[in-house]
Amino acid sequence: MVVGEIIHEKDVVIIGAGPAGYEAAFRAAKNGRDVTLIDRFRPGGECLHSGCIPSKLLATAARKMHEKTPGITVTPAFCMDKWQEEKNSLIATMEKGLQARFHSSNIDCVKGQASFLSENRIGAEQGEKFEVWSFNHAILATGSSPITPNFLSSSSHPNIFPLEHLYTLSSLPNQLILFGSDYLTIEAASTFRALGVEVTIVTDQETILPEWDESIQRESIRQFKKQKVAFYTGVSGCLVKEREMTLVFCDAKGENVEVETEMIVYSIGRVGNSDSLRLDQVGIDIQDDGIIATSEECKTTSANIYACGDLTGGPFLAVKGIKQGKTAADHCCGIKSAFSLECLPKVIQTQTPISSVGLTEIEAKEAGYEVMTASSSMKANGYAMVTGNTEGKIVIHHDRENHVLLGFHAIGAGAVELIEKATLAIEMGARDEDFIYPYTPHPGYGEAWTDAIERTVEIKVETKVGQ
Amino acid sequence: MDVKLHDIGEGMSEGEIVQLLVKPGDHVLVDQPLVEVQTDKVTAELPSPFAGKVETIYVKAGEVIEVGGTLLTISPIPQHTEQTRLPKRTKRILAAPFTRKVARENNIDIEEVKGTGPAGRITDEDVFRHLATTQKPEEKETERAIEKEAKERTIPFSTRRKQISAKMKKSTLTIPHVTHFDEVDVTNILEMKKAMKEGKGQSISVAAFYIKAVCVALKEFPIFNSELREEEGLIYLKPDLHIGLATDTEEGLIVPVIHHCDKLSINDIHKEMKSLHKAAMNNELTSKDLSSGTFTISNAGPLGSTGATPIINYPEAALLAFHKTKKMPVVTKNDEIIIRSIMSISMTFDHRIADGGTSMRFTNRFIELIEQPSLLLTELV
Repeated sequence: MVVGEIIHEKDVVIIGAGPAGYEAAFRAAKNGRDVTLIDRFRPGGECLHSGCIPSKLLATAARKMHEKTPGITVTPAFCMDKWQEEKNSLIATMEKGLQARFHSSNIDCVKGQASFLSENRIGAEQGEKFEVWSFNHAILATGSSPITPNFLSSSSHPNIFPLEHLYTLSSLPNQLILFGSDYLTIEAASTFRALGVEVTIVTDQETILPEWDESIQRESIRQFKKQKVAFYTGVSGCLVKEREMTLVFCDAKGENVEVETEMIVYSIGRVGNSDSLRLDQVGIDIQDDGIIATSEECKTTSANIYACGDLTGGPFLAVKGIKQGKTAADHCCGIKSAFSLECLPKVIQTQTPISSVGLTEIEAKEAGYEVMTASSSMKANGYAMVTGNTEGKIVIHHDRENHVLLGFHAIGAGAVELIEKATLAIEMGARDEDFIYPYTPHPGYGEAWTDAIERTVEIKVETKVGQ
Repeated sequence: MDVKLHDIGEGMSEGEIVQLLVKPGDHVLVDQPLVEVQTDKVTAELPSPFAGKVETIYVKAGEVIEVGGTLLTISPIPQHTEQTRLPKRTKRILAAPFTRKVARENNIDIEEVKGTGPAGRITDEDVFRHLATTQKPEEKETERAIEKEAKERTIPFSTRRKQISAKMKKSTLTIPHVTHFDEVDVTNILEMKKAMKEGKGQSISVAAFYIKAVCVALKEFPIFNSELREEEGLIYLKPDLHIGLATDTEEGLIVPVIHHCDKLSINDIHKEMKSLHKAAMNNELTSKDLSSGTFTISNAGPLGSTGATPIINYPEAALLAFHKTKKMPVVTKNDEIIIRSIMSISMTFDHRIADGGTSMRFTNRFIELIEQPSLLLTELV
């Protein structure tokens, strides 16, 4: 250790300035704590710089390309280069916004590679400078990194990379293979297809979106087929011929398939960024996948150290990280906080957006519910017809016994807006009449939901009349 | 982790493996019996100290293993850190986020609250009702303990109790017990004790005097320091006087022994008694402390009672119990009433080898020695 070094004494030291880390910092500061936030890059994390924000910005651009407004004639053209400029400018604006909030909250935001020096000390290296902090509580939010599929691990081809790098391209490829089945893959496939790229999805999973409701999987596949997105599920024996840029694999039927492409990206899972933290100094175990186990209060096995966000494992969603960051910060300030994944809303900004909260049909049945399912097509929704977005449907599962809403799954216009109501309804333990009775704006996407529920109720009445 | 044969009570030094109750590869729960062990006193099942998988078994049935010997190894199941996972296979508790917060703030596990709201939803009132019925955390603890006690209709039959049970059964089924009661005037001994305390500040328990007197009497009545060996057709009069002290401990009755009591001074007996008592209370008695007693004394006095029908510590021949000492009016030779300290005693003996007359002559001698300490003095070695 350097002689004469100065130790900064802090209440809370947070490592990682992504959504989980900066929300923890804001909350701890709001609770009156003296906070230092350390990040090896820039504040905002993966979410701002390569994840949520860039992907949503590109999805928005792709959507606008196809937007039809009655009476307006435009011939849109997309320029990726131009888009990059706007993206960088947006990120810079949002980063400035974060910096301003750090400043007004008296949060000390430092750039550096942080690691534990001892049980209550964290050091951060930044160039030739090395600073040390002592803390009462530490919150770890260093995020996650993509896993590389085995068959690509030795590849150094410049056009083979993790999916998130797609949003740093300065020009669009002509063809793109996405290796994966998760929401990132599906979203990117939809966006790049809408921008005119020939897209192929390849996955060794049985289906795309394996953890989502079957109704969403089916409708999503139907839409992709309609958009002429090629996809292969349940593949095996993948290998890449780099010279020809061809992906070779064995499809689900056992036949060999070769797909020539310009670019291959992958998203097959993530590992926690825990390597550089020197967690051995504080006696916290790291799982094989780099993940740190935490309690519902975000506590690690070390009494004064918390972890939140992707570092604590999936689902790898900022929405979860934000909740955990606030939970961790509150808990280390003595507030009895906790989080639960039960009603976590998930959104995919595909061209036809997808959202989901609560239990899937399979999960509900496994939990022992007698599931009643209601669905309504967006084709019958007046507002969807007005806006020209009649693709998709809303599916809801409820408990036949006591009418409690168990799960809400939507693919179609309004899915993202309606998920908020569904999340609240499930949290509150709402029952069918609780959604039927309140007014639904007309015309509105929400009417599809009301229609779906009312249909299940009507069936009951008809049966009675029939008798 | 190794599972060793530990002392399962009364200072055993080895045990015979009666049978193995698990085999390698078995998953065992904590407290699940692993092997059945027979000691010279008792047969017991050794419970698993933790949950895990049985790796290797080092012993086989019929083998005699010393205490401390490794029986088998179990690889413990790693304790997972509590981790949040989607509880996919259970029905969800219905409660609004606000209600959940109320519960958290009051340290209530929402899963323990009974919901009375629509569809079984937990309301704020339900949480407050739960809080009121469980009261303050510390009260809650005791209440739970009481509740538990009231509910539980079984308690474990501990190794110590099993041993006591086996011994008592053996003794009562073998020995025809007879008990007679008598009273001893212990005023003189108490006065001596008091004088010693006031004089040199020396404090000696009265029981030490009683034990000495018992030793003297036993020398004269060796039949009560004997063992009947029916199959040999002999009554074995034991040459040594090893006096067992029935001691009441939390885990049950245990009888540490003062060896060669006849060769010890009253002061030595007092010291020995104290150290054995302490060891008994701290569960530190060794196998030696518990073995080869020839006669047992039960000093029930400090606890209470005016009489009892004690069970003989098999294979001994008799047992003498001292009860509570009370101040009582006594009529003297001159028909005067004076206050004296009187202790009642119960003498139980094996009627196969002795009769009431002998027993009464034995207690009479004891009474004499206590009532006239000078006589006791003359008998000291």
